[in-house]
Amino acid sequence: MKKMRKALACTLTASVVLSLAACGSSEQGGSSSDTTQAAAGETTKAAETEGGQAQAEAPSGEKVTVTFWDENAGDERTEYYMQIIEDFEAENPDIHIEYLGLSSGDALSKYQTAIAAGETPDVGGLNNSWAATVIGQEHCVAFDDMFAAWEDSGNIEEGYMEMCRTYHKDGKIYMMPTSANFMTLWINDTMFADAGLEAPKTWDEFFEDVEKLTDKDNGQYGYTIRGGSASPAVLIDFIYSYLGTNEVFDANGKTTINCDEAVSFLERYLGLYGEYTPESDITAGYKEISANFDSGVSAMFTHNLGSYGSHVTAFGGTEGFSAHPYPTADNGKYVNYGGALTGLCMFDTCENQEAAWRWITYMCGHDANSYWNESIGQLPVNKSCYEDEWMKDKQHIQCAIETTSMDNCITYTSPSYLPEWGTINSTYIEPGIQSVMSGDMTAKELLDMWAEYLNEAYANYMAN
Amino acid sequence: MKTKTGISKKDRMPYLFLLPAALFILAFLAYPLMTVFFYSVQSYDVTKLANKGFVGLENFKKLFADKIFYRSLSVSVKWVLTEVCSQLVLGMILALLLDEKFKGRGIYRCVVFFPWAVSGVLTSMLWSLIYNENIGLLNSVCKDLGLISKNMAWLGNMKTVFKATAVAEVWRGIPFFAITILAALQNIPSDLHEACVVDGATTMQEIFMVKIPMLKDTIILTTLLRAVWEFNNVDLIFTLTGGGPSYRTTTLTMYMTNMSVKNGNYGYGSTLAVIAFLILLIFAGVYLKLSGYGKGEA
Repeated sequence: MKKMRKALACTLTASVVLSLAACGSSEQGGSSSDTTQAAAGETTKAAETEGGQAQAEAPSGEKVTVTFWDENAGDERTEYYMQIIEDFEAENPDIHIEYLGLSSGDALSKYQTAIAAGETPDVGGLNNSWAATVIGQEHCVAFDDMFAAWEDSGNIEEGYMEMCRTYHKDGKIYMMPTSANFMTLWINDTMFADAGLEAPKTWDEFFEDVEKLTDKDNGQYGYTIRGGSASPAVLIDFIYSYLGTNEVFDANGKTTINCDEAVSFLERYLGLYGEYTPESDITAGYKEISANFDSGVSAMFTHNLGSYGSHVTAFGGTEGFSAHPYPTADNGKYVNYGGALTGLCMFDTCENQEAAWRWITYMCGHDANSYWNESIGQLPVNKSCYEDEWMKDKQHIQCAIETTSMDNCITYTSPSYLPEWGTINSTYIEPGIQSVMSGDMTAKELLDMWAEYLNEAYANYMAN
Repeated sequence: MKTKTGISKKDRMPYLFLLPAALFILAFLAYPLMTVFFYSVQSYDVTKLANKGFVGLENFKKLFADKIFYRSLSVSVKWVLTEVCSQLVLGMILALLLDEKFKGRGIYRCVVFFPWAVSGVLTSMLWSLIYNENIGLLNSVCKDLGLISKNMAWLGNMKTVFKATAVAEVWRGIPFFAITILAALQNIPSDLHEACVVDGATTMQEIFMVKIPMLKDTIILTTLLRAVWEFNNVDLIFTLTGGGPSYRTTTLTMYMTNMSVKNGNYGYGSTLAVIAFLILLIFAGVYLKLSGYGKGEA
């Protein structure tokens, strides 16, 4: 009996680790419970205007509910959505939008779990860095016919629609864009003025400025490198911006990421770490690098237009900082990251596709699209918004418009459409970048490793 | 009165009372456990659902050729040894101190047990602020004491990240040992202490020759439990370092979490879980056998 008790004790203690893994791996039961927990744990906010009424009217068939997941919920964004939903429901009294806000860090895994469990929402917000991963799972509805029949389709920026078509190999539209973004070099105007410098226009100027703006003894650095979460996605944009090309894979299906120029760029760029950037950059994600910029620790940092709001708060207004494009490559080309779109998809579990489409097109229509993008500080996708007054007032918006309309601007698409993109980056490349920063690995070793994984993933992608 | 099967109605009652708990255990422990074993021999990557299906021992072959697996396993072993030993020693010292009678003992006990009441995420936030390169308390104190000349990124520096994370976890884990050992100390008959005094034993002799032998079963059980918990620790490492930089704090369960939850590769993640299960099973068996748990002090 004593032996039996010991055996049981061993098995039970060891089984704890399996329970840990089981939490995320059950296809039906587990996933479904995960989703339920997600629903309970996240910011669930049914549109406050008619939440109760929707249920009351549902049996009569007069009012339908469209479930909607916001992939990047936050206090302010959720409030903007609440306003839009209220307006939408006032215009469409037969539809009730049930909003669920996901945190941006968890959104992809929530979608993956929901897809595996067959419990996807009717409409979901997608982020460009993983939109192809969700769409590639073949549970999104193609919009081509609905889009063609939509009277406002001509107002949606063609370039963005083309970009959305790259998210699936079949070239169909599975995501309607709602916002576009622009990779921005944010600079601290005061620090630049004090040093007698202007925003860098070339990469050489960028590296020179970083050195000149660093005053390590006083805790001031020229730049802050994103070495933690999502660092590979940022780094690859930098590499192609430096190379001045949008050809990530050549005609033979081999990536150009480990060419000699890329190696020398990476040596120089990651070589800034520790000397001209804070030591904590090695694990820094967006919040940390943004905080470094906002608190005056670093004179420059790169992100997209979305961080505008936090700079306004930190700088106490719109003065003291400004948005600039990435530096131009030696060949004179400016490489614009064309994949920085966010948008909405419809899942095949949606029973009221007409109502869901009405919600999606409402978000893409002039009024909502203008209000939404003005609020979050990004670029509208509906061309009719371009004449709106607010677009002319904002320096960062004008910077994006002017830069992308330059003759030397070419558009590059990140290989985030590869299904293995996320796994490769988080498992191998992010730690690899940290190894190069700490001197445990060379830039060439990292890029060769990255190239190997990308080539394999691309070959799989093309073969399937 | 007995039924035909030989079990009286009265004897059935305990089984009936146990049934709800047993059903819960089956539903929420046994079923998920079986599922993990099932997925460990499946290809189940949510980014490659087309390849989903039985792959036999393919995941295990991949695992034994996976350098990150070995690296994370060695981090796990280092982590468990560091944590359990540090927490045991410090917890025991505190328990021995708190077992003594002195003024304000109740307040000190509350202070010592406080970290146990703090959630993992809060602990992480607290320590990430302490370790912050620019506004962290640790840098400020170290600079005031003249220990460092410039600020350090304790969680970004390859040389300090493991130690810094380990200290945060030790802070959280000490109360567990302190509470359980203190409870066991209070069960030691006071006449043993009186006998020590009469025999002229020093305090150290009393601790090492009387108290610790009496605490043997408590120590074995608590260290086993803590070793398992520390092996499975994810929350603090995940929120403090995310396993980085460059795998320096990627334990086996952290790697498993990243693989399953972050990357959606449930097949390979389950294989890692099965291996971790087997490691803990063997460890628990060997540890209980070698330590002579339950055999009592001769």
